[in-house]
Amino acid sequence: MLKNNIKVENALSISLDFEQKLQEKDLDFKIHSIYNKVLNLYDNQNNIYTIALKSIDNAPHTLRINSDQSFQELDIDKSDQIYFNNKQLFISNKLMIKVKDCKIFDSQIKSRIRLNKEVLIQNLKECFVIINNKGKFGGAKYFYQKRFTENNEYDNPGIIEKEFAERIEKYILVEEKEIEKIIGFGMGLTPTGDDFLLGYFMTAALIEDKYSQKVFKDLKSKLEKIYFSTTDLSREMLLRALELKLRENIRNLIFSLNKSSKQSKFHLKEVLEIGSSSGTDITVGILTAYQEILSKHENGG
Amino acid sequence: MYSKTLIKKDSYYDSVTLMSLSNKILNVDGVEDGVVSMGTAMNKDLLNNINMATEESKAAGENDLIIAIKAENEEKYKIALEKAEELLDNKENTKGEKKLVKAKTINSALKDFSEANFVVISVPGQYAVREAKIALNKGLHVMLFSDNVNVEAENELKEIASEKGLLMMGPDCGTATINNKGICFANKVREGNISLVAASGTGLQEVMVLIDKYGGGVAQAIGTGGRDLKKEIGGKMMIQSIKALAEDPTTEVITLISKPPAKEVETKILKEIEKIDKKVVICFLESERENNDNNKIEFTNTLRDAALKSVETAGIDSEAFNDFREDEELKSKIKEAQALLNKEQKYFRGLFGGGTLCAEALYILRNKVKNIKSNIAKKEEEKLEDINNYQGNVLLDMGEDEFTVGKPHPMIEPSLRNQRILKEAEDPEVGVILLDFELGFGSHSNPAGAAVSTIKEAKKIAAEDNRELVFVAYICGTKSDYQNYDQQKQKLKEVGVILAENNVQAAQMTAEVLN
Repeated sequence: MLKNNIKVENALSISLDFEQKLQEKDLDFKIHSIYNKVLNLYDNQNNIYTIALKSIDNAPHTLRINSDQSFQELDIDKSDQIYFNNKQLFISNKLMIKVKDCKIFDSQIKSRIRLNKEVLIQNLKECFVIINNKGKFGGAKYFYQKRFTENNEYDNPGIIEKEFAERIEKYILVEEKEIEKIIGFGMGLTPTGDDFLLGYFMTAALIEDKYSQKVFKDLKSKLEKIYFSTTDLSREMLLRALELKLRENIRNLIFSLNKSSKQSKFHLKEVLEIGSSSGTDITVGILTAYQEILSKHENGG
Repeated sequence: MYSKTLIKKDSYYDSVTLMSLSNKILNVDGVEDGVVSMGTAMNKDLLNNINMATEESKAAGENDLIIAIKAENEEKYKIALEKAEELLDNKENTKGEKKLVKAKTINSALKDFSEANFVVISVPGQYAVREAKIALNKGLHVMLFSDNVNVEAENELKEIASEKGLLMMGPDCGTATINNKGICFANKVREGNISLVAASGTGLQEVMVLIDKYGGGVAQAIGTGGRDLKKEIGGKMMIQSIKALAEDPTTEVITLISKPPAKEVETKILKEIEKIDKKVVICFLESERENNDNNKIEFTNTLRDAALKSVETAGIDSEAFNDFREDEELKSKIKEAQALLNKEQKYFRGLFGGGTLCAEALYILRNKVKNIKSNIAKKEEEKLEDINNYQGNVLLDMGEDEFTVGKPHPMIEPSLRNQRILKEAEDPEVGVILLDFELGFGSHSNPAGAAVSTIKEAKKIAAEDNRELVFVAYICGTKSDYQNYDQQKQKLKEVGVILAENNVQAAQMTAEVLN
């Protein structure tokens, strides 16, 4: 019997991998963490799955529900039992999600984009202005301003921001990239280094170009070999990236930067909304990768 | 210059909060530097490079928040820390998770919880004694999780507690159950009429778990700290616990667990038992104590027997739960395992997370296989000289400081032990690897799952060298533990691990496979 006060919601969309997970006979979810807009679950292999409010975009391992009520108001506890029955996902007797007739989102990238240099250069210029105005400090923005703009009004950068900028110069913008030096580096739920790497890695992965594919393969083989000393949520994000699974807004931004429509500006604003400084850090990673690819082309590489 | 770090376990804050925290700290007059970040390897690396790393920051986990502050002096440091905590407290209170009143001192906590009579103290050793004294003088029972408390200070605290009729559990006390509520590392067990007093740790967990398995239940489980039965302390807390349990209406049987105490301490304890009106089971591990005509006391030598005897004494028909009946399936598994090993594979390696389980395995195995060495052996001839370089039969307690300084305990984070499993797999003379897995509050959320790929990898290493490797394991946990006991078992079975029903049996099976 359900308690009368159970909250019932409909799923809006579900990622293909989450949907497949729900088909497993012995669903073994436990609650990992509870935030306003997302409720994170983990399984016995420590893979994280997310239930998100409708304001969050589609992403790997994510189920979006048609609600904007904070998960923190539902009195959900980490010891609450989770089970799936008759196409309904229950979080104890506090939340029931009807997973029926909702859209399936396949987060896996299956196609690449051809580099469109002229369009890209123009789009990047516009991005720089937006990041200057709307990008958040605390992570990669200091590096970005130092490297890509003439704006020298740094607002008292912290040790981490300065060190991060140094590490990118020293370990990423070089031939032999040492990604382990930035994984887990920085503040926040998903440290700056990981967010930056996500943007950088996925851009290299998605561009159909000799140099970017070389960088992508190099980074992929390195990522596959190392242990990610980082937070659980960030590790999950990087593991999915290795499978070429990416959240909707980031994918849109990377693709739109090569297109002549003005869509990239809108997608950039959406990405900048991710987390606190995460969106800015991811974007800086994307732009850094694009800049590097462009400069290789200019140098005939 | 004064530099320190504060660690907040499993605390997630977004980067904007953390940045404003950094700014608040840096804006305090007299603060030279401040770093607020998660405890990932790279962030710890940074602290190291700027000389702000401490033992605490080195030991922080990836999901822990580190607040590192370098200030002119202690006073300035404290001001900065107060600012930081203020901000985090506000943030915590808006998180919407279960509301807890945050208190910075025992005194302020008591203002909000005037009815409290018990405190768990887990602050660095040098502050722990001061805090414990304050608590005892306020009439609170104390569980002292902190270590690095010297024996003189421990004695002083226990004297105060004894005078006031209070419990002073610890130092280095990690396991307790009070009124059937587990504290720190503890298993979820059935409620009942048996109460335990032990030096703490996995010995206490094992007896609780087996009592539950044999159909009994636990009322109280009190940890005394590992030095309590030494001459210097004189068993003060074991005696105090016996007195308290004698008065506890739910307790009908009292079970004492310890390594053999100093003779004069044993005499004191036995005298105390004479005064009370309840039945007592005593397990002095590694002793060969025989029962005498005393009807009130039952002596046992292993944790398993202590559990079994406790259940019997409590009036429960333990035969129904007796797990050392002839088990044909297990016998055939051992036979199969024996056939897998070649002539060179003469040795076993025991890699333990639980210290008392490791000690008990040593006690069982020393009479069954030759020349065992261990890092926790007391006998000279059994002491292991180098934990990284050895041959033959070896038992390692990987929770010992020599393994865990700056690293998490293997019961919490198993990667340290996983690496060692792979190392042992490369030794062509190793036939059996013996493992323990602890469930319950405080332990890793999926200990068996975290070992599965390593076990597969170890078997692969052996197979590439035309060998087979046998794994024997014991899961110390109950079906009520949150990790899901049956699933944990299944995961190990799926990768061919032979599972024992208790720690003694795991040690016995290890010897049988090799013999």
